[in-house]
Amino acid sequence: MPSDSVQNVDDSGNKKFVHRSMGFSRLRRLAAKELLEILRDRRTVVTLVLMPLLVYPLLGTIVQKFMLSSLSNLQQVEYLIAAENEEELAVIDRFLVIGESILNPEGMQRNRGGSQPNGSLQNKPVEDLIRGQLEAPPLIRLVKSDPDKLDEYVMLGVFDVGVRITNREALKKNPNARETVQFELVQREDSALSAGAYEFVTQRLEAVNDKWVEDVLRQQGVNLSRPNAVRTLTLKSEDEEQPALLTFIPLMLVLMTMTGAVYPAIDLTAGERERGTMEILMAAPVSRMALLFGKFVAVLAVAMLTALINMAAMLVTVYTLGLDSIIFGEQGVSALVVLTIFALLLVFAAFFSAVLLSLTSFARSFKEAQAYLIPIMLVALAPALLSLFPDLEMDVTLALVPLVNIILLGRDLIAGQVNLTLVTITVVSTLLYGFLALGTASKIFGSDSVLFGGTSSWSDIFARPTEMSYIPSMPTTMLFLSVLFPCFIVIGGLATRFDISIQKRLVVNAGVTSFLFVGLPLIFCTIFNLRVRTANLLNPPRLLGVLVACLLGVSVWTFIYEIEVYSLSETRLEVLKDVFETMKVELQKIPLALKLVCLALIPAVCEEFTFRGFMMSAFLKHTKVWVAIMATAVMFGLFHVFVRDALLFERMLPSSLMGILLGIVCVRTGSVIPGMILHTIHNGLLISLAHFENELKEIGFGGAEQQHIPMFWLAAAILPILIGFALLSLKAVRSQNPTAEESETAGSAPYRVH
Amino acid sequence: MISVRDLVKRFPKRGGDVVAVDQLTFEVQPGEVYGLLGPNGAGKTTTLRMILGLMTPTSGLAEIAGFRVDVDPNEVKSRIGYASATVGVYPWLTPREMVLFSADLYDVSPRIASERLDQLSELLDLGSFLNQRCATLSTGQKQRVNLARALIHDPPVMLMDEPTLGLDIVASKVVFDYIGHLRSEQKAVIICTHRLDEAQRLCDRFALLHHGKLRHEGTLDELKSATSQQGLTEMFLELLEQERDPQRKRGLV
Repeated sequence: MPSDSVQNVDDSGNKKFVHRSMGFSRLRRLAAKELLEILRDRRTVVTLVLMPLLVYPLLGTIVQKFMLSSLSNLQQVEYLIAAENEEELAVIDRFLVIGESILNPEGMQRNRGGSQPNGSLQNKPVEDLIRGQLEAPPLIRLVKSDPDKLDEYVMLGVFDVGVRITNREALKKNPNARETVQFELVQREDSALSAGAYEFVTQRLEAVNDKWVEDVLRQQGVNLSRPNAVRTLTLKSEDEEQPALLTFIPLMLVLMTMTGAVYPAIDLTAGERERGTMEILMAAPVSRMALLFGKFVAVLAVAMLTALINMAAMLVTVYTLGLDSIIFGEQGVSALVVLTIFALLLVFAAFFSAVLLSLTSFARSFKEAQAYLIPIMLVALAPALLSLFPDLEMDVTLALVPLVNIILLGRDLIAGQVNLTLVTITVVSTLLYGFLALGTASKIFGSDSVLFGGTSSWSDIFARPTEMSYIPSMPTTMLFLSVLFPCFIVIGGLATRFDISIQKRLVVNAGVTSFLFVGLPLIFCTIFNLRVRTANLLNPPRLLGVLVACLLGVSVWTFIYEIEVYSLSETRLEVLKDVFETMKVELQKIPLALKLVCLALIPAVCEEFTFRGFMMSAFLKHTKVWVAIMATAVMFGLFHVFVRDALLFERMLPSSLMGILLGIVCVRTGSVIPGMILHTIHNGLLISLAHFENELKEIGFGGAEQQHIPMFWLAAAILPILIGFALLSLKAVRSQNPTAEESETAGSAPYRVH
Repeated sequence: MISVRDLVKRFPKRGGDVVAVDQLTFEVQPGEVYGLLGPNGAGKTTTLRMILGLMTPTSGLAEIAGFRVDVDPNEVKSRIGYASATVGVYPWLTPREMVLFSADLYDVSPRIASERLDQLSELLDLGSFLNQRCATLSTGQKQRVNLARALIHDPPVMLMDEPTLGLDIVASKVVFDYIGHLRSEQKAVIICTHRLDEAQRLCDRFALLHHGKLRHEGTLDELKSATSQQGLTEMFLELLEQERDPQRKRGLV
C-alpha cells in the first residue's frame, strides 16, 4: 500500500516534496509577511512613531524647564543683611560700599541695588545661562530689623546675617574721632545662605581694614612688599567629567528599543496562538527554527525602526532646544558615534528580540505574554538603572552582563572613550545570549503543550530529558557556549589576579582549562542526559587515523607559525616581543616536562574535547559538514583572541586555520582523538622549540633575530602534510562505526561524510 | 493514501491517564471521503492532529503516501491540506497575501501559487474580497479563505475538522461543493464532524468513534446491516445507550 500511494502521487502529477534547506528568498518572503502584518497594525505605529514624536519634545522641554527653574533659583541668591536701626544700617552700608569698591572696582555699579534685568533670561540658551550665572554676584539688601528680635529673626531665617555695632555709645559721644567701629555679626549655623552672607560681609570689612593698613604704611614710607602674595588658578582636569546626562541617552534608547520589540514579539508568537493561526504554521513543512527566524527578523526590524526613529527624534529635540552641549559635552556628537551607537543597538535589539520571542513563545495568549513580560522588564530595569551611576566603570565582568554592557558602552562611546576588548566581549556575549534565546524559543514555539494547552511548557526546557540522547541539540550547544564564554572570561581573569609563582600559575591555568573545556561538556552531558562517547565523538580511532595525526602534528606547525609571523606587523611584533620577553625568561626556568604537560598536552586535549568533540558533534548533526568545520574553527579562533583583558587579534587567523585543519581531521577520522594527538604534538613542538632556543641557535637554527622558519624546514614539512592529507582521503582512516542501533538514533552524523 | 495503525494517545492527568485515542486503525484511499464521526470528546480532532504531526502519538503510527509521520514529518506535512473551523486568519493581511504566504510555507513557487490562487478564487468565489483585509471578512468568507489556503499546494490528502461549524446554509453549500471538488480531484479526504446529517450526504465511508475507540466502520449500507439502524443519528443514539447500559453492547467492530 505505501508504495502504491507513492506511485499515485507521482502519476497524478504531484511534485514530490523535496525537503531542502530554506532558501534565502523563501526565508525573506516569510520574514516579509511577518513584517507586513506588524506594520499594518495600528498599535505598532503608535509605539513606533507617535511615542518618540511625543516623548522626546516633552522630555526635552521638561529638562529645559527644570534647568531654567533651578537657574532662576540661583539667580535670586540675595543676602538679607539686617541691622537694628537706620544709623547702623547707614554705617554698614558705607563700609560695604567701600569694601566692594576695593575688591571689585569695575563691577561695582552692576552689583548695587539688586536691579539685574531678569526678563531676557528665558531667551538665552541654557548653557549661557549656567555659565553667566556662576559668575554673577549676589544681590544685597539691607533691612532694618525690630531691635529686640534681630537674633531671633536671623535664627528663623528671615535675615541671612545680622549686624550690630557694639560701641555705638562711644561713637555717638565722639562722632568725629577716628574711633574703631566694633561690629558684631550674627549668623545662623548650618545655612549656606547665612554663611554666604557672612562671608560677603566679612570679606568687605576686612578689605576696608587692609586698605587702611596699606594707606597708613604708605604714609609712613614703609616698603609694601608683603611676605607672600597668593594668586589662585582654577584648572579644569584634562579628562573632562562625563556630563551626568550622558548615560541617560543610551538608557533611553535601549528602553525604547525594548518597547519597540515587545509588541511585535507578542503578536507574532502568542498572537498566532490566540488568532488560531499557529496550527497553520505547525502544519506546514517548515522547521520551527525557520518560522522563528522569520519572526525574529520582523521583530528585530521593528525594534531597529523604533530605535532609529527614537534616535532621530532625540537628536532633533536636543539640538532644537539647545541642550546638546549639556548632554554631549563640549565636543558634541559625531556622525560616526551615532552610527556606532546604532550598531550597538542592533546587537542589543537582536539579543532582546530573541529573548522576547523565547518568553512570548511560552504564552498562549496576549494576556499571558504580558504577564510574563512585565516582571522581566522590571527586572531588566534594575541593572539598567544601576548603569546610571556616573562612577560605574565598564570592565570585563560588566561587559558580560546583558543590557548593562550596552548602556555603559553607549555612554563611553558618546564620551569618546572606547576599549576595543570590552566592545568585543560585549558584542560576542550579547550575540551568544541571543542565539541561546532563539534556540530556546524554537524548542518551545508551537510545541504540543503551547499549541493545545497543558501545563508542561515551562518545565519542558528545564526538565532533564528522561531518554538518553546521543548528540547535543543546537539549543543545548548554544546554552553550552553562553555558559562557557562568560566562564572563560571571568574564571580566566580570576586566575591571573593571584600573585603566585609562574610555575604554580601554569598548574592553575591547566586546572581552569580542564574544568572549562572538559568539565563543562561533561556537566552538560550529565544534565541533558547525553551519552558521553557519542556527544563528544570519543570514538576509538583507527591506527591510520593516529598516524595521520602524527604526520600532520610534526609538520603543520611550520606553516601555522609562518602565517602568524606574516600576519604580525613590525610594530606589533615589537610590542609583543616586549611583553613576552619577560615571560619567556621566566618560562625558560621551568622544567620542559611541566611545560609540555601544562601548555601542550592539557590545553590540546581539553580544547579538542570542547571544539571538535561536544560542539562538532552537535554541528555535524544539525548543519552541513563545511558549516560545522568552519563554525567550530571560528569559535576556536575567537577563544584564542581573548587573553586576559587584551585582544590578540593576530591569533585569530592562524588559530582558525588550525581549527579548520583539526575539524577536517575530526570529520574524516570520525573521532576527536586524532585531533587531540595532532594538537598536542603541534603545541609540544612549538614549546620545545622555544625551550631549546639557545641550543638551536648554537647549531645555527632559528634565533630571535630570525623570526621566520628556515626555508628547508618548510620544504621538509610539505611531504608529511601531503601524505597526511592523502591518507585522510582514504576510507580506512575512519574509526569503527558504532553499533547499528546507535548510528540510527544518532542520525547520520558524523558518519555521513563520504 | 492515509494509513493509521494502532494509534494511541494518552494525556497524563492526575489520578490516571486519559485515553483520548485508543488503538485506532483505518485506511483512506484516493478519491474517498472518510467521515470521522463521534460526539464531542470522542478523539476525532486528536486523531487528525496526530496524522498531521502536530501531536506526538503515545504509540502506533500514521502514514501518508508511505511516509511515516514520526520519521519524515515534512514529507507528510507537505502532502496534507488542513482546514479547520478553529483555524483563524491574519487580520491585517488580505486573503491574497495570506494564501500566498501559505504557498511560501509549502515551498510553492510564486508563479504557480498565483495561478492556483486564480483557480481557487473561482472555485470558492473569493474574487470580491481577495484584496480586502481579513479582519473585515464575515465568518463564511474567512472559512472560504481557509479552504483556499489549505489547497494552495495541491495536496493529495485533505484533513477537515468541523468544516461547516458556525456557517449558514449558503456558506455550508460552498463547503459541500468544495468537498465534491476534492473527490473529483482524487484526493483522500478525512472529515471530522458531529453533524451526522451532513456526513451522511458527504462521505463515502464512516468511522464511528466513541471514547477514542472505533466502534463501527464502513459504508452507510454496511453500517446499516451491522447495527440494524437506518440512519447515522440512530446508530449514535444506540452507541450512547450502550454506554449507559453495558449489557446491551453488541455489534462492535
